[in-house]
Amino acid sequence: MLPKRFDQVKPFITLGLIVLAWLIVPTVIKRTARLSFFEFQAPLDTAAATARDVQDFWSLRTRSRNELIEAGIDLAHLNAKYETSIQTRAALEGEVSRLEELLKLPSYTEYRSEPARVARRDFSGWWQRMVIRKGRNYDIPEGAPVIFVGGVVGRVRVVHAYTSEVELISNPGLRLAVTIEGDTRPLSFQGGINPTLGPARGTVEFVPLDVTATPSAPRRLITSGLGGIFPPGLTIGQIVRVDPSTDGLFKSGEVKLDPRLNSVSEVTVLIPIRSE
Amino acid sequence: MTRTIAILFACCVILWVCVSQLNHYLANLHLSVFAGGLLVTLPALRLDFRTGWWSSLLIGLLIDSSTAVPFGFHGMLFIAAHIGVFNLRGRFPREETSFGIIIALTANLALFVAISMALIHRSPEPLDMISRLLIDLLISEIFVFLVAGWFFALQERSLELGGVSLRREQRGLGFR
Repeated sequence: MLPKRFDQVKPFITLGLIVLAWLIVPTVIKRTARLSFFEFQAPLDTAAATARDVQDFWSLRTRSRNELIEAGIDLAHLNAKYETSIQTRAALEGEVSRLEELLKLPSYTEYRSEPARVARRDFSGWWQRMVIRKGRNYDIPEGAPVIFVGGVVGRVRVVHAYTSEVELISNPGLRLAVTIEGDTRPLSFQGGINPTLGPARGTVEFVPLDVTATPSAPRRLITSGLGGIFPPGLTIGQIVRVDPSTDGLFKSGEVKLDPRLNSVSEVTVLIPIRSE
Repeated sequence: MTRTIAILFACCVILWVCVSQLNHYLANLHLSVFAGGLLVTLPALRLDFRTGWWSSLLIGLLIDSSTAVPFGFHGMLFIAAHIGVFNLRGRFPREETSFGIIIALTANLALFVAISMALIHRSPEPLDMISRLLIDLLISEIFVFLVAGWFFALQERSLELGGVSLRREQRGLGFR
């Protein structure tokens, strides 16, 4: 009977041996294999994204000329508005530089903006990530902040030849040093609550006891600039609720993220400009 | 064996790309489909042990390469699922498509629960995640139920086109 029993457990012994062998495989081999597998399937993502772009193009071709003229007029209005903003920004940057020089303050890290289209979104309950269609070919560095019109999207986790993987701020486990707009005290943000059919949410910890926030009077949460990854002042979300934490020293709260994060199709990667 | 593994791997890549694109569109609704159980079912039910686990390992590693888990996580889970199904297959009518669908649903459920158990600690409020995971599991099972028949047929027909006969293999006559 013993050989028969052994025959029954043999596959499980094989499994144990495979797991053991996998654990002792050198990290270099695993990393190379991971990159190879990713590069193998990356063209499929890019091809699907390109096919979607072609679909969008042909669906736009069905629009009437009047609609296009109206869209052009709206764009002209927006351009005029942005021109004014650019001039104001240039004046403010000059003022900041003058004050930095006067007060001998360290200057902020400067960033180059690299717009990129989203190839694939992968928002499961286990992880929240997306693949963008720019990688080493556009000098995207690992860890670079990624933003969109609604604020912070996340940060670049892995850079491949022609694509990059972005870890979203709604990803469980992602932590950021943040602050409330108009306040300088640092707080800790963690993403990871992603209910079905609703906007992503996160939690904020170490909120001072004097801070209050309600759904009717939310507080804007912005990046603090601490940690050196994200520039200060970028929108994370809105704190809609704060409750005293169990230790009584701080409060912890709930952060509602921008609902447009669910359908983002165009992002901007901020690439730090290294000074000589 | 290499040709069989390559054909099965290609079929799994097709399904995985379809699921990825579906998830891309479902991201707006914060829904996600997982079909890992379907990828391991036919090799575990119809092929020899070694071919099946190579196929499971390769597709697991492909999924690992583009997800936020340690490399080998899905690979090892898929091999475990393959071994579990392979060990039990002699007791059931493994050539029946309906039985294959039941196995695919069961394997998918087991893999989904295993991945959720392994990753739920990442969430700041794990209890809040349970409703999301249950809805994801429900739509994943519906998806697997709907496409399992087509996917088994795709794999079987692709193997036949590649000169691999599952019927001959079942009679112990080898693949070709």
